[in-house]
Amino acid sequence: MRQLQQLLRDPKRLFPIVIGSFAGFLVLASLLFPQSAGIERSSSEILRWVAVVAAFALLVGVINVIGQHLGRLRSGDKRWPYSVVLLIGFILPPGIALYGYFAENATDVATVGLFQDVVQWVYTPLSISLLALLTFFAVNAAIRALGSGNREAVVVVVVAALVLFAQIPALIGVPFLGDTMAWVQNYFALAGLRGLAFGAAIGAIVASVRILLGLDHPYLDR
Amino acid sequence: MGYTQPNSYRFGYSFAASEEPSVSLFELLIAFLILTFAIALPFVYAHMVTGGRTIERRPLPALDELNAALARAAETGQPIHLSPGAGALHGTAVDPESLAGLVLAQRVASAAARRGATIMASSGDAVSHLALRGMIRVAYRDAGYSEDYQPDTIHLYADHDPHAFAAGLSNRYVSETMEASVTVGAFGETYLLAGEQGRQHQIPQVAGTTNPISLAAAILTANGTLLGEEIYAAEAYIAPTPLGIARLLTHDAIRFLLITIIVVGLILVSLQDFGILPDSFQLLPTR
Repeated sequence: MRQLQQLLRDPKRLFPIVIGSFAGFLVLASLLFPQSAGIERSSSEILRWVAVVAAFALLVGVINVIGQHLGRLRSGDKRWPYSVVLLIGFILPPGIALYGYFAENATDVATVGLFQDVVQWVYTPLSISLLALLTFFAVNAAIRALGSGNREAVVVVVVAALVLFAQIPALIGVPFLGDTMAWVQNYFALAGLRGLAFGAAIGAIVASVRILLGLDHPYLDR
Repeated sequence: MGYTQPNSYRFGYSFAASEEPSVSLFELLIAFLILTFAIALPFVYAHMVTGGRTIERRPLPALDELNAALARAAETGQPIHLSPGAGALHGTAVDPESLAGLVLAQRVASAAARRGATIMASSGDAVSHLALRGMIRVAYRDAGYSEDYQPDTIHLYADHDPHAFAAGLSNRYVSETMEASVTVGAFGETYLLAGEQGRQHQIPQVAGTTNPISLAAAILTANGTLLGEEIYAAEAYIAPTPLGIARLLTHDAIRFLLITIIVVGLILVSLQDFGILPDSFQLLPTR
């Protein structure tokens, strides 16, 4: 009650919370009553506004990143080459977009051939390389976990090893193995996953409601 | 070839209008029941807790690790690192795990600032980045150490690109010293890239998410792991206010409600399948 009274006396906090709560409940209502055109239209409009506001948040983030790396260049940090690569990465997409607009009259940067080349030859191979690294990291983590004797980690490693082992081609003809694996996955694993999903959903509902009611406001820089 | 974003980071809930199913009366009733419980019960339980009702909470060992790290950070002066992950908080896909990560980050930042420990943070979403900046600034201010707030220790690594975020976080573990890292929120399978790097550099880590793949990676690399719904409950352990404890009790009450609904739904559907209830029975969900 005391918190509520403090909130009512502080319009700088109250106003954003009321706007946030109203917008949140409107979007929630549009999910519960999809047949109501008025609510649906209002909700879509709010979500469009969110995209615009988020674009400004992204701008602040971009300024923060550029500031960090310019600072690193100015201070003569030994990691300056990485900052140069990052800054080139920042300049390249808008540069290509401008080139596409003026040279090819393209309004969507994703359709510009040069941008597609950068994605195909730079972004995609880098992403795949990072994913490939995961394999080695997983093996390293598994070996260390077995050595450390952490009970939960040992269970994870042993189950993963058993599942991998059961899938090798030489074991395909072994009677009951495939059916047993399918049964374990369809009942034990799925039951566990659904339990996890239920628990997480309940937590998400309670967390969302308290943010909608303004009891928690991690978004508010008061 | 057109540029398409990787699917792996779209692990949030979509609000796209075209995907909305029609809602039956039964489903609407359940939704209202759960919402009513979620709104009303925390206040009822908070009143009971304030009135002297004692609550036994089951221990979360991951939070013992976190409390120990907070105590060490106050002594050594090394910062505590916080990250809610790379989940979206804007657009057409919102990730509740990111919200849970931000709320926990807020509680940890407040506790750290009160004890005189320093805080650093990383995120993979522009809105989360702004929220982190705000909450850490407020945490320092409320603790009376406004001058200790350093916005340049709060980093944004890409926006909605889990690969780039994991690579950035991994690099931070290598290049900066920290007392502990709290990575609770929206993490996908790329969590292992950063988590393993942190482990190799002997950074104590407390990790938490609801993603089963990254949970397995977290168990292998982190010193303490928050599993599934524990990421939503953890904030009430860090700051055990009556309302926080009431929220834990609300989780249990809604879980009991859902189990009851599942059993009642099973009975109703079975009655319809056996022909005891007519097909036109209004309270049955649309099938």
